[in-house]
Amino acid sequence: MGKRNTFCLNLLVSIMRISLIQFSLAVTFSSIALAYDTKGQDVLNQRITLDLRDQSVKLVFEEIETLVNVSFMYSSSRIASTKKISIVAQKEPLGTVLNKMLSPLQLTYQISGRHIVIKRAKQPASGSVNKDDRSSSELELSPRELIPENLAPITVPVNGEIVDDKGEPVLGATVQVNGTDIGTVTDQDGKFSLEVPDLNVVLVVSYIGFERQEIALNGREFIKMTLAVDTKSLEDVVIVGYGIQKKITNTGAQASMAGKLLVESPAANISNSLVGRLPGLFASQASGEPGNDQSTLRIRGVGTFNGSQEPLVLVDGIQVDNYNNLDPNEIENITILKDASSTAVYGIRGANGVLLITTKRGKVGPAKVSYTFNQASNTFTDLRAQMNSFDYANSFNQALQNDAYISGANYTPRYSQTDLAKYKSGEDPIFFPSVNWYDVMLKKTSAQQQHNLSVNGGTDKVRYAISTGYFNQEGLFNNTNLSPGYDANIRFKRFNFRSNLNFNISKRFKAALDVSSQNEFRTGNALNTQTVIDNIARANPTVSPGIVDGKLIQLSTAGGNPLGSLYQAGYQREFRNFLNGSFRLDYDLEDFVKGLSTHAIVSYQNFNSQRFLNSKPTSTVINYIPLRNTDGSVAFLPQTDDAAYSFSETIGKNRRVTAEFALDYKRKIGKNHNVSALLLYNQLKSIDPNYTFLVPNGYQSYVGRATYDFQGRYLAEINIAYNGTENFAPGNRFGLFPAYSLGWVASEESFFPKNDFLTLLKFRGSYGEVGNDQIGSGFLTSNNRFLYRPTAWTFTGGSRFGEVGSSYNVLAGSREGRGSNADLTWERAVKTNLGVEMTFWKKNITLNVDLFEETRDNILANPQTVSSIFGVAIPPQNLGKMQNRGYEFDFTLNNKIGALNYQIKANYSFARNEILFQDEVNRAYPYQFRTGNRFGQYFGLLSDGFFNTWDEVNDASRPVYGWQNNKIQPGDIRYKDVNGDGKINFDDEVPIGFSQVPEKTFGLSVVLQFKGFSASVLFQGVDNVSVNYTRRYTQAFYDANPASAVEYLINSWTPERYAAGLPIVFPRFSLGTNGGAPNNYQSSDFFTVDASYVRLKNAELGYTFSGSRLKKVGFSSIRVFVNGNNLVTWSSLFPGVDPESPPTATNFEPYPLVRTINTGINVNF
Amino acid sequence: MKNFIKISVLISIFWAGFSCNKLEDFLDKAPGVDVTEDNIFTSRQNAESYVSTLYQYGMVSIFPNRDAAVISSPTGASSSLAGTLSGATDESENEANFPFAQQWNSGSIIPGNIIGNEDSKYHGRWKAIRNANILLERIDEVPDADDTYKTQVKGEAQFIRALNNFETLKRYGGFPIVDKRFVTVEEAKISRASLEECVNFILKDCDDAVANLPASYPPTQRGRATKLAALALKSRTLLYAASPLFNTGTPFISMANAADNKLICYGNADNNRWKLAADAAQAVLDAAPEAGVALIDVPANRDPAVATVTQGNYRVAWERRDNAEIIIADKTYPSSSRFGFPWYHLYPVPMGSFWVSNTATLNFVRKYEKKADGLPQTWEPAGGDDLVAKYNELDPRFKQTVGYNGARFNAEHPIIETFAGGKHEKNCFGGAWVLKHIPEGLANGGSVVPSIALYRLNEFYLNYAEAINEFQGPTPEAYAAVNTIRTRSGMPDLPPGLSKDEFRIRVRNERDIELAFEDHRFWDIRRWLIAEEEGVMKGAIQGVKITKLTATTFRYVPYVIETRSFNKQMYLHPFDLNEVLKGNLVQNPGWE
Repeated sequence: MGKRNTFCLNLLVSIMRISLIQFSLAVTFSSIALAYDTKGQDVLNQRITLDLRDQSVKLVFEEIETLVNVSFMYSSSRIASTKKISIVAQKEPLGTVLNKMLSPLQLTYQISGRHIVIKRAKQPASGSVNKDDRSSSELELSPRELIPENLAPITVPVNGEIVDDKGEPVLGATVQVNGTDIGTVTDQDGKFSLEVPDLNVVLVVSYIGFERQEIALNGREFIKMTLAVDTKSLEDVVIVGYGIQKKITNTGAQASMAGKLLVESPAANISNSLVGRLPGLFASQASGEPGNDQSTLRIRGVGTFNGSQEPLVLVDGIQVDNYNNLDPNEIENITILKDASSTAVYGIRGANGVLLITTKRGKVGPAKVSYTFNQASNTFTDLRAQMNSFDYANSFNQALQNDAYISGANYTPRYSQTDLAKYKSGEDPIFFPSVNWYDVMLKKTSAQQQHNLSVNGGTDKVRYAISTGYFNQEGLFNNTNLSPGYDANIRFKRFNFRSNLNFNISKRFKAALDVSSQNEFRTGNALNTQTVIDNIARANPTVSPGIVDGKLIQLSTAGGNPLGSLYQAGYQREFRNFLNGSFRLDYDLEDFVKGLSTHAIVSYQNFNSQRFLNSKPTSTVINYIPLRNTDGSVAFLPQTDDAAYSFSETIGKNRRVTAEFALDYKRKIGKNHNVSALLLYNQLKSIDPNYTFLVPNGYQSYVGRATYDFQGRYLAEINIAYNGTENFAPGNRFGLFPAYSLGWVASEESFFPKNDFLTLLKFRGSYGEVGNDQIGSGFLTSNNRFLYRPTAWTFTGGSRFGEVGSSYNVLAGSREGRGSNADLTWERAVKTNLGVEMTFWKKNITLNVDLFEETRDNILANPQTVSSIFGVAIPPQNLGKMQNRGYEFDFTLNNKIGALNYQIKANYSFARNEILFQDEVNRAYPYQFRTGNRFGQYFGLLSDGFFNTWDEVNDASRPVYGWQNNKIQPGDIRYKDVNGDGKINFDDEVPIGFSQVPEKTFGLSVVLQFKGFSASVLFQGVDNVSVNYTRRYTQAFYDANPASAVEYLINSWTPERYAAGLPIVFPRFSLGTNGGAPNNYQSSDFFTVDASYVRLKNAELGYTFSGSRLKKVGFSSIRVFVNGNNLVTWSSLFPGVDPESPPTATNFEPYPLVRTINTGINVNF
Repeated sequence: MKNFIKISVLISIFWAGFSCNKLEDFLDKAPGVDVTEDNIFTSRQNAESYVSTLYQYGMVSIFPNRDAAVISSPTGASSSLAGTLSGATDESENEANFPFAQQWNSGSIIPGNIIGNEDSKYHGRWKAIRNANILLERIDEVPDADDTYKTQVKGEAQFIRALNNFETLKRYGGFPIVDKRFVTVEEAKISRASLEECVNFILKDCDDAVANLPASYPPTQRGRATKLAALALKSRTLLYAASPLFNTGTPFISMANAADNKLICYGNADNNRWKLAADAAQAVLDAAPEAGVALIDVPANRDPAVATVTQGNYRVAWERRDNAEIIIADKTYPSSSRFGFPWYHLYPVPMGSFWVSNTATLNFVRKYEKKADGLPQTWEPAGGDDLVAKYNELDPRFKQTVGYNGARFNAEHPIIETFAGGKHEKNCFGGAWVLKHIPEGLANGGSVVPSIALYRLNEFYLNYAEAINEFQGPTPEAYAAVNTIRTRSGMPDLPPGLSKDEFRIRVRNERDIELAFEDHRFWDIRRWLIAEEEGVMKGAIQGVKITKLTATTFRYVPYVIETRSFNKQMYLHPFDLNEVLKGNLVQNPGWE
């Protein structure tokens, strides 16, 4: 883009920035006024000019349709639409013109919204047709030239009313007698009347967005019918990159879900509601902390071992970093793009798949106001239980005794018999306490509220969808008010606003303005929650009596009471504001070239954050130490003085501007050829103060797409992106990413037997190349950015010279930087996809199966085989190669038994990757190579039970153990000598289990609807996944402190338990991080175990009230519901571990996930 | 066709709209590189900054984790090691079990954890050597530097290269000789050289450095390598080279391939190597006066009543910065309190620090002779009630080294209590704290610059005595050297008429006492091949449990703190497993 263009863009952006909110509010209100339903009479009053001579009735109708936004509905078998007429009108009202035209034909009309239904007049037209006068639409026989003679002369009138599942009238629904052309449309009250041949016919009711329904009259003259929202209607079209396509002719691999499923889950974060819903999507949630509980998403698993694995996320076509804080109520649809065909248009950013979020837009109709309120309660899904003080002290002594054998020291118990007795009796709760810190520091439940108010509606000119939301969630920290004016509990509040407006400026010219904002407030203690949870997990039951008389007690100056961690770092208030505006213009170039249209988008995103920290020099709460007075009473001595708060502020500011311009061509050529083409330019610039060297991150993309289908049977598509980024050296910046796909709808073939069983059979395949320029985690903020620059030297550091006390000073230093890599480039992914789509049994069953394979090369990695004698860091190279393969299927069954509608959906995904090359060092044994295994594959020793007796330990033929100098004792883990060299050491480590990213994930949902009742459940699970337990999960007293012991570790090996034949699950007790028993805590299959699970992720039960009584008091429907999240879990993990957030190497004590039980009400006006 | 033309026109406009300017103009430029290697060598000032970094990277100290924060390895890994090497010898026991020394004591060292358990500077040394090689390659190009400066910098680079190579040598034996800056990855695929080649390479650098370096610097430049520092390095190198570990035909364990034995020993025993070592030590003593270096020896302060800063030659020599006895010190670090590096590796937790320190073992305290007669102190296996008396009879250096029960620690802790129930008893396994290295200035939250000596002159008297005794027996010069050291600390002369073997025992003991806690013992017991002897690094390590009887009498009872292990392969370090797997290093014996 040139300078002029940039200037225009900047100007536009500035204008938008200044007036985005004011403008959007003004537009919002004015459009609400505009959107007040246009009366039929207004339509009839529109003046038109016509001069048609000797034309068919049909053509005259079509011509009027082009002049006024109406549509004529009539039965061509009953009305001789080919009859030629002449009509001339000069700025006459439409009503007059119609009367003039129809009366001679013995016809009349009825208007409903923008639909004009042509009917035969009962009597010769009087010229005074009143749309409200139903009697005038009664049918009579008409002149012979208009009506076939053989038509049955007698008809019967039928009246009816069509409402949706909320009891709202459905306007404009088509009601048709099955198998005939007799039909009408409903009026704005959802009512219709129709002449039918007899009262045994079957009526077919259909309307876009609802399921087509058939109803037999069975003699009734009045029917009332509820149309069900068609969840499949979105499946008729699919959302693709930069557009939508008909599902039937689409050849890419994608999966989507309706936004309303998100609302079924009471989770704040959208990503947490995607789990189990979409085939090909792997999600894992690392934390349950309010406002920080988003899931990590991986589309089709992991394709790179070093680059970013994050999918690209776009909301309404605009790349965002913050999709998680959208209000689920705003969302219409979520689609993931998986194969090269669907992601190639994103080129250099498409390799990890793409997540597209579409928000709700206004629909023509009267304003629909919907209000939803949710009140929920959160509890932790599971918490660890710790040993009580007596068990703790006993086990501790046991550990000391065991370790004394290793160190050769004399065993001295830490806890005397007197101590043990005091712990057991609990007689001295101050100095010999037994505290369950999880109880002290964590609440049982916390509250969560969510409100959403939305208005949706519009006219032909303006459509609007406005939504405001509020979400409030409390954390589960307890005893958070020990310091006055300071609430250490985590609280998260979010305000959402979105206004999506569509304008039809003229028949060819359309505009859309979307404005949204998310305001987030987080308050609470400033220490990260992971550390707080770790401190709880670490605190042993004897370390402090907790809170006594409202005072925070420490038993020693060294501290230890974990409550202190809620106060030590201070109190923070964080405010984050996201403001997004997007303006789109569409112009139909139909007049210029048939089938051609163009659009342009400018979008501006702004992010501001402010974090205030109030802290005190030591802790914000005073610590007390108890002292025993001579009379036996206890006094508490304050350890610190109260001090004044200090304040600090941290500010963050990011912004991003996106601009897009496109030409879109869509045309049916002849009878058989459908072609479409897209040519698009897109640019994006992100400004973030965290980017390395403060250089903004920009992308420039040229995108092309061409599709072709022959009779909807043979499909072909080419997608190409040519895009560039400043991350690579000039000359290496732009890359071309093409993808090709073909499809064949076999069921459309003439030789395909027509049957009701297999109604659709479609094959598709794609092959193409996409890229990933985020070559390394945190690439834009890391020192890997601009790696292509020559080696930079920096003046930093230096030694000191001179004499202490007189001339001792730093002599400034300089350093050689890491070597550079001028050839740096993006990761290249070559992807192949094969898919089959099938529908069975009249569309009641659909089954899609996809197979995929991806090979990614140019993965940026450090060469591992360069000896460190080189003396300076070797720059990373694009050397890695990895393969990812798998399959997925999804299955849907829709059916009903009587009035019970049910739906069963199942999806299953499998993705396995393999590192093909990473310049690995030369291992001594073939099984040690990481290359050839999956990314993150665990390695470890193979355990073989315990040494149980000294005879086993002293067996001369047992291998020599490489840890603790071969000093093995009963209760130690026995390992297999894999290489048979008589030594147990790292050489015996083999691949064990899987990795922490599951290879298999599946979801199963069942939805039931019976009259006003609805119920749904979602089961979700993963398999081929491992967890590596470390630290406190496996070892009591882990840490020098000494720290706590988990209750289940009571099942550790002790001579007494062994002698008594009690179950033994864990090795002997020992102390410390390294000291006591390194043998038992080597990486091994003993503590790297299966982490698969199945969980009842979601369940909902609801009832909808609707009907005339509600309507009288102003409601169209009311829905009440109860739902819940993370309800039941089946897994074989240790107690207290949530399988969705097991400990990882970087987050060993996650803030646990919560179970949410929610009640809600949804009111529609 | 009409449509085709129309579309073509539109597409042309489309492209023209976005391509009229250069395609990449929208994308920002990466910032340029302001400083390249060429800039460094365009001025003396810039070159000097690179020399400063040479010291920052290349100086070594007694603290294994020194510079872990400053120098990450080429692969980005860094490690933080708690404690000192002393805890992995019979000198002391760490007050907690997390310091790496415990891994040595329990025999848990393996190739996979050596970097994290002692040699955290392995990667950093290669970085320092690259720094030295680049300086040697380009210093002549600096336009505004005179020849004197260029010569000096070459000497400094040679010294630092030799120093770092020696650090590798004493740990591993032979190493890959890196005598130039590598440009391509292929060049770095070189193997270990023989021990002899490595020693000679270090000696060559030392000799060159001696020739190039000045005898001394102005006070503002103190801390840079001098002629004497290079001589000192040469002396220590030759002493180690002559010692039994290396100076032998058969190594302590044969390499897997016996032809590789020359990587870890000379391949023959040659007594003349002791002569070279003695000469090199003598050279240091001879050159010292020119450099202004001399023993701290104020006769009145040979046996101080109370060990404070102002009294006691021995304490002054280790405590006072920039004192006359220091040949060269590591001056990389700024002033720091006991909560900062390196003091938190030394300052006991019960005295108000927070990390880890060492407690002196009975094994170590036993080495102190009685000052009255130079005879060993008797420590009853069953203990006794006369602890105060026993302590008072010891070598004056004892009080200046060990923070024993009843001693003065500093102004904040005037009386150390390590008896049962005493203020400083917690985790004091040995029964006494280590006082050495902890300056008085750290008391009450004070801050002190940690410029701890790399070489002090006292070492070279002992180097000389040890070497000349091994070469030709206890000559008068050997006696004189040891007695010089003893005299300045108020100890009687060694008894005359000792045999070579008896003299060896005495000089080694003298070394243990005089150079205690200064990163010598760990290496000495290796080069002497005595680490596996009972009570050194194998078997019982003892401390004393102290009971307060009256205000002035204390009972001591020896007890076993820990039973240690020493496996023969520990005489040399294992190379880091990952480095071995890269293919250019042959692993040391017993570690394969």
